[in-house]
Amino acid sequence: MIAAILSLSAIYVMLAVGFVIVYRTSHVLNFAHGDVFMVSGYLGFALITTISLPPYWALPVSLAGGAISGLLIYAVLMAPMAGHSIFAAVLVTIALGMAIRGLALVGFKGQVTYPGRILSIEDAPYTIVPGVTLTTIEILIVLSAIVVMVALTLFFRYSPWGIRMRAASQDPRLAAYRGINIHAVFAGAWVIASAVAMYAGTLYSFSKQLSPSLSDVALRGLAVALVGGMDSMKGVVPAAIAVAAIELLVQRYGSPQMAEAIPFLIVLLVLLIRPWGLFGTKEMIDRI
Amino acid sequence: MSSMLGKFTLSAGAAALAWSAIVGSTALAADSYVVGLSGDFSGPAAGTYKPLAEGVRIYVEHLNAAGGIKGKKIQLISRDSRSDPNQVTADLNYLDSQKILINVFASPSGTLGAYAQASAKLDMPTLYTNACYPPSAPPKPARNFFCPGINTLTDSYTSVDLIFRLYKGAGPMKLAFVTTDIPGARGAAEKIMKPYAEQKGAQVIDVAVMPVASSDATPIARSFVERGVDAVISYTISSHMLAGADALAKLNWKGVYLMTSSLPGAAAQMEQLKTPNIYGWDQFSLLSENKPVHRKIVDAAQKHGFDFPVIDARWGWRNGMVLAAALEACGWPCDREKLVTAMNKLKVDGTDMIDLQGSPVIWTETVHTSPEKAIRVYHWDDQKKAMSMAMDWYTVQEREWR
Repeated sequence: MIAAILSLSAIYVMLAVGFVIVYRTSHVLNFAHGDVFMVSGYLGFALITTISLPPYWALPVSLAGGAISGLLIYAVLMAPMAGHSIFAAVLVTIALGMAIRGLALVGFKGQVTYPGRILSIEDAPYTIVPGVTLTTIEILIVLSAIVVMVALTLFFRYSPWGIRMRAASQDPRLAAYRGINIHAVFAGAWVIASAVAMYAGTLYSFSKQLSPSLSDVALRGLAVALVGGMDSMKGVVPAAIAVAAIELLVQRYGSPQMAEAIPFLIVLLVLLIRPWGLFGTKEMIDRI
Repeated sequence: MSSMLGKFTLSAGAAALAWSAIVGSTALAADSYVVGLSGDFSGPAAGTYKPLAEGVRIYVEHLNAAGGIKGKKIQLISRDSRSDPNQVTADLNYLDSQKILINVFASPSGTLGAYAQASAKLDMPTLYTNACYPPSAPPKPARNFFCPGINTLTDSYTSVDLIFRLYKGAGPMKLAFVTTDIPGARGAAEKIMKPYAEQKGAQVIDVAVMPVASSDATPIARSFVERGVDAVISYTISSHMLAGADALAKLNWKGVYLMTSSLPGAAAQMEQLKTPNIYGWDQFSLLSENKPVHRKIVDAAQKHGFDFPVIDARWGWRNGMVLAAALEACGWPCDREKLVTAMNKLKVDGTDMIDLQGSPVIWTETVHTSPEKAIRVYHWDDQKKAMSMAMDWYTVQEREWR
């Protein structure tokens, strides 16, 4: 159970940071995030098998591909929404998600496949400590989540770009008056979010299977972000662990149907008590 | 003036093309067997049911290319029901308005209830292409509802019987099930397989139910390994059967994992997993046996654009053969009543059918599935580096639905 919680919460961390970064910077709830996660697995697998690259090359390629797609999404769809209501921007992300899902179904036929097996990726079990056994790729998932969190924390705290993004998230107008390129900052948020989502999607598909239902997995990342606080990076990890643990315990000892709903029931409960999430900022809640 | 003439010419040309298309299609319909093909071509179950429908389509196109049934072609009218019971009913109403003779329905058990109601109202003959349930199952099938397989009750008992044959361990088998939260699969595991396995002496450790939208069976696999499970039966949608197998294989579990590999998506994925202790019981022979029927399937898949692993075409192809046999028995001209009468005494036992599925399809007034069915068991052979037979044709008797 501990191993399962570790592995699942690591994926939730990588998904939730994408939601948090975009929301924190631009106040947009990105409903296409899950579909980016899903389609990255298909794209990565298609690329690796077409060009015959060693399998683990899919990971840096997916990072780069995610960054480029985040930039394109911002430049083509989100930048023109500047000055319009947040609600309109959110609608755009919903439409984008549906479009990605539809194209993935048409292009890849909704087939379920096992990239890890087809690419002969070694995924052997290792006992980390007694009672905790993780496979190779699960270890990579956990390590990746740790690296992503540490890197992003340091980035936002110490790097010039990170400081600009924080400034823009607090007061975009003031930040613009001070010479910060707001579009560049917002684009940066989308780049980071998409890059991490695509990387996580590729890694997840190596570990489990590739199927259209991966979008639903990613939606639980939104639940984690809401529980932790949509503007809180430090809320992501505790929220991910809590949601993963409760979900798996309910699935194992309670009802599997409930397990699917658990992340969202937790969201409802937390938001009833603290609408800004466990670690979020009270003033940051916008009405959509 | 010349631009007006040009516009007129364009419009007239377009109208002529449209008219010829209408006349052409009417002409085709007038001289063809018009058949409906509805099912889950998109949505969560499409991975299993679209290949089923496509298998039927490529069979029909193959048959039409060879001249059809005594010169009469089959015209398929397709509708995508997207796993939505309301859409299923709307589709059937539309197909009925198109005066189809019979509908081939490729959809999971979740929408079968809505379909059966609608087809009864319309008195629509149906060829159900899935594991069989009422209203096709014996002892009292609906007169116009047919399914060329065996019912899931029989599948369930067969799965348990087979795991006992495959399990070679000492002592009572510690058995578990991997299933999905859908009525047919979950009911089969909890209400049929579990009690039957216990009656035969197995110690049932768990019936693990995966949420429908989930693709991760790792927590279930870990729990099985922790609790010493040494045999697993999985009888559900392909993605979940394989998810359970993959998760257990990754933990180096060496027990016996039995699933059904007939459903599209299952056999091809078993080949991807390359794990010898995953066994698939299957209604069909392997394409690698290279008999004439296998070569026809491979050719047709290539010629007529089958976008899935070719092995997934077997089930739909079998149903296409049965459809063609039924229409041939109906003769020309054919109507629904004549067709149903013909199907109530249909026997499809040609070489192709036997080579493909090991046993004939025999329908009578009281049996609209099959009185018995040959099955095989396959697994990955590490030495041959290919799927191979673990058990040759083994006949199971159809059971009455209860």
